[in-house]
Amino acid sequence: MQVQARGWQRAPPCLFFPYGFKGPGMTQTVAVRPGKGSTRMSGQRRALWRGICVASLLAAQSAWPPLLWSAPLAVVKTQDLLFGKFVGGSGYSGSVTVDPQGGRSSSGGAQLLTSSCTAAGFTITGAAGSAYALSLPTAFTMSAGADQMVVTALTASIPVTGVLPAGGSLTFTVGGTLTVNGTQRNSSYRGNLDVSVK
Amino acid sequence: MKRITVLRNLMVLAGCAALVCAADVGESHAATTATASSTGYVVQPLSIAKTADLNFGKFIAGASLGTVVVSTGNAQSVTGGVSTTTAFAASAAAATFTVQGEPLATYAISYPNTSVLANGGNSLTLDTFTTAVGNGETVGTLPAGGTQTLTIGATAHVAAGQLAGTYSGTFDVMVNYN
Repeated sequence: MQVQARGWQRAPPCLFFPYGFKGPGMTQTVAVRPGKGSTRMSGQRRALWRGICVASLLAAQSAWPPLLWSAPLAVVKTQDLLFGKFVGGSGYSGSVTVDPQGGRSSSGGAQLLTSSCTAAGFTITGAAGSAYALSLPTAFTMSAGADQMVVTALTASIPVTGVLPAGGSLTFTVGGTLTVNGTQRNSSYRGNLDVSVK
Repeated sequence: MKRITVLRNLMVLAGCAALVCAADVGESHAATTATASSTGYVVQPLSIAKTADLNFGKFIAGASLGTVVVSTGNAQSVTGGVSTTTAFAASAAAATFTVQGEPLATYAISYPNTSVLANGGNSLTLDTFTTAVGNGETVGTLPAGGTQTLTIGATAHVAAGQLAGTYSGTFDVMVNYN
């Protein structure tokens, strides 16, 4: 059965306008089944429901900003963690700490030698206002062949949970404490610090 | 008919909610990870060992005070009322130490400002310590091999009519990475 639908274009399904929208003076021939032609709402009711639908989505977006139109969170490394040079082994043991601000200190026999040291650096990007949760390991291992040292007490320069500021980019640094034992072999040790953001 | 319309709109709302939920699951639970490399360099402790004592050699005290100097090059020299001979000077020698540690690392040397050599109740005072390393190396910087010979000289103050005899004492030299 062919009927004439006046002034009502059935646009493709659209999130905010699930019933399409009214084109000025437009007419379109549509195929409808008998008895179904009168299921569309009155203009007022349609506007009301459309408003409710849009408002609910906006409410959802403001409550959980990353949900609908923001890019997902991303984190990239900008700087490696460097403990520099320090004394260890031959009975000399202790610890070396690099704080999130990049300062270095030592305890025990792990005397520091003049050398560059840096805290690890990262940047989180996403939509401004997005909530983030930062996850640091409780410990990780640095090794030189079979010899190992452990880094613990990893701390970040930002709270582990928070909200991305205006601009959607948040830079932070991570430091930790390296334990050096008295039988540590003299060598360059290397490990990986993984940080996760969600 | 009204019921059908309401039902249909409710379904749309449900769809919207489902979409929100899907987005929630899809994004907020996916963790993203970045990895920083971590490096640290364990170096051997710095060590110092004496290989030769400081020896001012023989010298003759005069009617007035003076000094005996031993250079880092083992040369004896005298000032003031103190005199010496070539034979007396020949036995003079600077103190030498072997310093070992991380190649190319720098270190600080410390020693007392003064020290005393005694012979019974008589004494000589040492001061003005001098340091040197050989072969064009720099004092306080270990060479590529990590081992360096450190030489130390000093000045002994001799009083007028200082009693003859053998005067001896000790002084400590410390090295520390810096």
